[in-house]
Amino acid sequence: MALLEVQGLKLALRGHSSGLRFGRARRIEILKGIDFTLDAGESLGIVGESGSGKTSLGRTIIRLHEPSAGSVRFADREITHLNASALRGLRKDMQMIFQDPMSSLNPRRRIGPILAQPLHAFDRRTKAETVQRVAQLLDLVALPRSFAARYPHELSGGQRQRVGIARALALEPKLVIADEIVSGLDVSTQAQILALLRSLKERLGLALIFISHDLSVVRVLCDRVLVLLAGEVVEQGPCEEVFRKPRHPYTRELLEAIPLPDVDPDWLDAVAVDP
Amino acid sequence: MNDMLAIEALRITIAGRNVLRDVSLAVPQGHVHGLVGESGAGKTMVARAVLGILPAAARVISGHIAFDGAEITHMSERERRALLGRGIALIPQDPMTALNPAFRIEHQIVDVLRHHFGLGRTAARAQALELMHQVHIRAPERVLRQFPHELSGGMRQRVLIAIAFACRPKLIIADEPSTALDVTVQRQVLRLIKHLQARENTAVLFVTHNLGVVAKICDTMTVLHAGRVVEEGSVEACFERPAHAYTRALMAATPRYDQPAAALAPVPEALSRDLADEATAWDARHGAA
Repeated sequence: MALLEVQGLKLALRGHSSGLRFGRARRIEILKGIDFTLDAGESLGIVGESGSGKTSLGRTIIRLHEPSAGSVRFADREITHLNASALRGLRKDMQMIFQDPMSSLNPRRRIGPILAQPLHAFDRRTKAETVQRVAQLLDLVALPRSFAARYPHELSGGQRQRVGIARALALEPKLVIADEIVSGLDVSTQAQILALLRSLKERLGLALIFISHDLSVVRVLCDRVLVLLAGEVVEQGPCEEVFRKPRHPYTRELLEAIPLPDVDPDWLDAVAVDP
Repeated sequence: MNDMLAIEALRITIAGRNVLRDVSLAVPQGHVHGLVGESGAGKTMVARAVLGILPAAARVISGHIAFDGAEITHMSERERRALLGRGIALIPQDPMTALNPAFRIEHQIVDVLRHHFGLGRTAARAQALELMHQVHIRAPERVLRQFPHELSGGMRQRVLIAIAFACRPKLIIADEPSTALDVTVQRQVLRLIKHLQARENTAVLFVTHNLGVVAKICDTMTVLHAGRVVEEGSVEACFERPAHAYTRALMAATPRYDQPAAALAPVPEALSRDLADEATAWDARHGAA
């Protein structure tokens, strides 16, 4: 049985009006009817270029946006229009990791309290239990326990992203949505974080939605991939299949535009100078 | 062949710490040379040293930078102003911060042309329009009237490429010019740079962390790690027969959509340790400044 079922999901947001206008603001359709399912323990890559709606899709699934139509079912429960208090219970099972850990970690709190915050929000624990769980979380993402006493700015980008991952895992969620979490990192740090996520996914049986503009990264981490273009799914399927034999011309265009690290003098000449 | 840029044993410190440890590289006329490395490797520092815009705390301890055969290592503000734009131009990374948000595109291009060629307004305007055509912007008249925020990222980058090529410089420093763009737009921007570079026979120092981009646009390359050159040569040699373990490790750590997940290998810790030790040993031999 699917852990997450998304059906006909639409999102419309109020657009910026250009200049002074009266009357109703224009609504812009961001997502135009998205369908997909995700099994427990499965990982799905959502890819697309800027403006494709990939970030909005992640945020709508976790109900940071209110969908304008369609349904989201999670663990056999309709969650599309849950109210705030019912959503709070759900947050435990669905967590999000954000792109920029520097802005999603409070710069004035140490790592220990940052990791303890989700624990306090849901369970009453003794101080000793909390300290122990924070230590476990740091172990889980391969950071030294002493980091609990540090501030975010004392950590490298890769270390901060590990803290972001640890915080998302604090409540043992069933589903984690990660939005562009390796894009700001160096190749060598990126490879470490990808290896960490792969092992966590397997050890904890996590379902993962991995949002990225980088199809190569998705190939490393995901079982399946969904390609978005202007708020619509143009192609979805197992990574292996989609990346080897893309069916949709847009997927093909995206793949061909990726500069693989192989010398190929004809690669640039294959596109026109005139866009 | 005539080297447009020749850097010889450049050593730079910041607050007494070595950031470039005897870096040497050369970019012959008409060649695109990739400068690759991870953050902190010193690639931006090399670019800034060439442009003469090092941070205030940075000191050039030793070494030489020559542009078109002339030493420019310690040029004065006056000399630098005469050189930049006409001799050496920059294509910056972030097209949003490189353009002034308060002025229309036309104003920003016309300024450059008037400054360097002493053109009158009308002549400069005509020249600006011509440049827009050169970088294949559709509806150039409209784009000239627009403000930077009204343009897409790819469009802004085309405007900056137009400004960089405006004075037909002999050397262009391209600092991660396609990093912030979507892949399809990135490919077009790279194509445009290559096209103009080949037509004008410009030398380009192409700074990037992306090995894939280097493989596609560069003729030769230098790999930096912790301010040291670890590998250099033609792109064919570096990609097909990398001599240094770090180059091989970087390639193995780069994900590829055409290979299964298991092919990806993080940079081995032992290698990172060895490289750090070598940098420390270098400092011990040469002394901290």
